[in-house]
Amino acid sequence: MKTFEEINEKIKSGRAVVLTAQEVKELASKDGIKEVAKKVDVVTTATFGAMCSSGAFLNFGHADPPIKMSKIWLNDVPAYGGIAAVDAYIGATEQSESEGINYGGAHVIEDLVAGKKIKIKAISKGTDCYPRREFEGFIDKNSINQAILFNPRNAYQNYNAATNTSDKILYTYMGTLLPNCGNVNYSTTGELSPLMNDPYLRTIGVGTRIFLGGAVGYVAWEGTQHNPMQERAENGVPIGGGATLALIGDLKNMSTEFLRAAVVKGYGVTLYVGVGIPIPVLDEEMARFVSVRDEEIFTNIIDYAVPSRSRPVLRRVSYAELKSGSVTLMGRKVPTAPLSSFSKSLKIAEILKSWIKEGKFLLQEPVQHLPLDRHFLPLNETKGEL
Amino acid sequence: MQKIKILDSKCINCGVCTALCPTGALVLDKITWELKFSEIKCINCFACEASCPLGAIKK
Ligand code: SF4
Ligand code: SF4
Repeated sequence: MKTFEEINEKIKSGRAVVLTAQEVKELASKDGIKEVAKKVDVVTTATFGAMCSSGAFLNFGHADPPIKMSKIWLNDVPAYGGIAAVDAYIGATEQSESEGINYGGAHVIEDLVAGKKIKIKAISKGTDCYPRREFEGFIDKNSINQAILFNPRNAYQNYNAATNTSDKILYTYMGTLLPNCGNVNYSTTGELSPLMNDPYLRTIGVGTRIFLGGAVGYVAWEGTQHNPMQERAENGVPIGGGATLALIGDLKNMSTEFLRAAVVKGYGVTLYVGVGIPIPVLDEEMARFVSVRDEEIFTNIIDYAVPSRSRPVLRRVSYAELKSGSVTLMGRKVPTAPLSSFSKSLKIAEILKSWIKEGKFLLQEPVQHLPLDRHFLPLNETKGEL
Repeated sequence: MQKIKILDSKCINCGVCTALCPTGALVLDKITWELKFSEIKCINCFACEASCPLGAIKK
């Protein structure tokens, strides 16, 4: 048994044994789980994937005369202005009013991180205290007070894989799906992904310090659509969408290497977010969790041709099979492709490892655990009151 | 003839383009997980071009 405090003491004195998720799995298959528990203090896990449920709170400061901005556009992308006078939330998936799908909130966020100038336009009805009715100008990350990345749902614990049984191409948030099961796309990094390595969130909760977009960030809360009651495999890892995290961090310190705008053809704008989470190996159970392999992590291949929220499952598949480059589906070999970047995830795990080894990054024990009893509720059409 | 180009500065090596390539000209390296493009195998069908969310594949 080790505590967070003991591990932090080791980090401070440069004695902590820190391995990436990839390295710990190799150690476990060579020396076994007991050795992992004995030798390893921290495992760095990571993912770099499209996370639509992302965005940033911005505070612009006051103009003279001041304005209570009610409608706001940043490079022609609408930002939400229904909070105070000069606060706004720019959502990643919002699209430009002039450029449509080619430029959106995610691009505004990436341009802000890159230090580029952003055109701001705001309108207001005007009040006695905020008389101004229009404002046009330019901002950048240094001219505004706060730029806080606050992503309501990131780091999905697991997610379905997608295919298409119809005879038409489908353009989905899971990428382009070719007709007649021409391909299978999947979205998580499997055994590298943070929440696959701590399936019951024993060490990840409110206040956990993480790598977010190239800077230090924190777990703020459970993410939206948090679904810990999902069916689980024997090793505890959910099969399909499970837990999620709401993440927060200072956008001004982030890097475009780990925060990237993207356009998914026929679907829309999204933000690729780099997330790295350190997992302390507190005991043998945690050692077993962080040693999980792609062979033991499963998801369902879902048919996106069915326009329903309960799409049919075509088969269950392991991440080892998905990552091999093809799966057998209805007796045929079908090519697979990931939506997340493994190479960037490996890089994030290495960077986080070096931060910890250099003593720059200490582990934060959760100040509150995330709930394990939430269900994912549907939205039903109801006539009249509930 | 127009040929495709992978812009390294934009490519994040996600690999989502690989399943759309009919000739195996785009593959992910199983060790580094980086995208490998083989000009010899490419038939310039451009099936991959629009599939790249990062705009890293250009004619
Ligand atoms: S142009 Fe066609 S053959 Fe060439 S890499 Fe793209 S999909 Fe493959
Ligand atoms: S889809 Fe684009 S970003 Fe992803 S690997 Fe292919 S070229 Fe690179």
